[in-house]
Amino acid sequence: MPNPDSGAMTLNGAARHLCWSCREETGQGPFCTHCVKIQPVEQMGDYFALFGLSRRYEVDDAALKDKFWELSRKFHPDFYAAKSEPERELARDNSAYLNAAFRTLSDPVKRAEYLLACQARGYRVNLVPPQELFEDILTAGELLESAALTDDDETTLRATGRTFAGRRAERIESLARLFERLLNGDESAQAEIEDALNEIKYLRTIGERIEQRLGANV
Amino acid sequence: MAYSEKVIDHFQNPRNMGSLDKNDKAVGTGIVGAPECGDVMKLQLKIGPTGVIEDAKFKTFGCGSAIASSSLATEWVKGKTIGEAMQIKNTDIVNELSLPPVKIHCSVLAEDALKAALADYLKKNANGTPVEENEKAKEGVQ
Repeated sequence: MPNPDSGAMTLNGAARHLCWSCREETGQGPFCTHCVKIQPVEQMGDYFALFGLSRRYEVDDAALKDKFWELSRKFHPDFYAAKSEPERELARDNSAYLNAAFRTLSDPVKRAEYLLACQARGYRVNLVPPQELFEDILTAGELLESAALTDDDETTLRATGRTFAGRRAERIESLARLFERLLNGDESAQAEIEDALNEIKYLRTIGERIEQRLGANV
Repeated sequence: MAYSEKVIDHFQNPRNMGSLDKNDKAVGTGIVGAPECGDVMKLQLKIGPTGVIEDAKFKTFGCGSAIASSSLATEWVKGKTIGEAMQIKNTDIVNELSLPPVKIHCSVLAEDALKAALADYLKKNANGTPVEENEKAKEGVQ
């Protein structure tokens, strides 16, 4: 419970806020514990806090989705149509914030980038990742450019697509372990995370293009 | 978004597409990428003993603007000296191809690839003349 005498700005690491309407302390949830009016969710902390999650890379996808639906219903602007203008505005803002938070945390790449940003570290985009991956992408890219694919080309492209997808899945999986190291103070994990993220992005683009090409050819 | 006629021309009739032998000491290779869009660009230069760019080739995986930017860059550098090629800026490519703001990163990639190729050549030929080094390379020293 909040201790009014502490005078501190934070309690258990979370900032304390006064309700915009009743001017009492709101508690940590999205609704004022005193007057039950909707509060701006940005003040609850980062995206992880909004979903009641601790700030780490691995998230429980099912729990994330459940919490998203629960909060979506609570903030849905339709339920605020008859309320005051400030409440209607907060319902809209909270819904937008919630959607952005869910999009970020449910995507393995966006979540990693967000987590890096939360750690207040610069995110370095490395222009020269593994050269052998680039060669593979250029080779596959050349096949994609050809006007007509022979059966052999298609088989090659399919196999390449599978290799890329496997490599991407591996890299995404490695992120959890790397973030564990980073959050435990191992600074050297940062560069490895950035390299993994860059590689995942290259693999995503070439993977999508291969899928498009094969999809149109089946 | 509409592409300019010059972009479409370079995209449909790319100049200098292909590869040079990257183990050749007279060849500088630059491979760069942009993770945000996933584009990858390879640009290679064959540089003569007097420091003039004799041939240039590129391979690009990316959008039409990225292909056009690298195609144009290879066209421009042929016959130029290393020093002259260093002067080529991405803004020159933007102006020539009338690239819209969202495609400026494609021209940046082409400039980066060109610089990387020149740097690779200079690194390979830091000692001795390119021709002598080239002979050694052929004997399988590397």
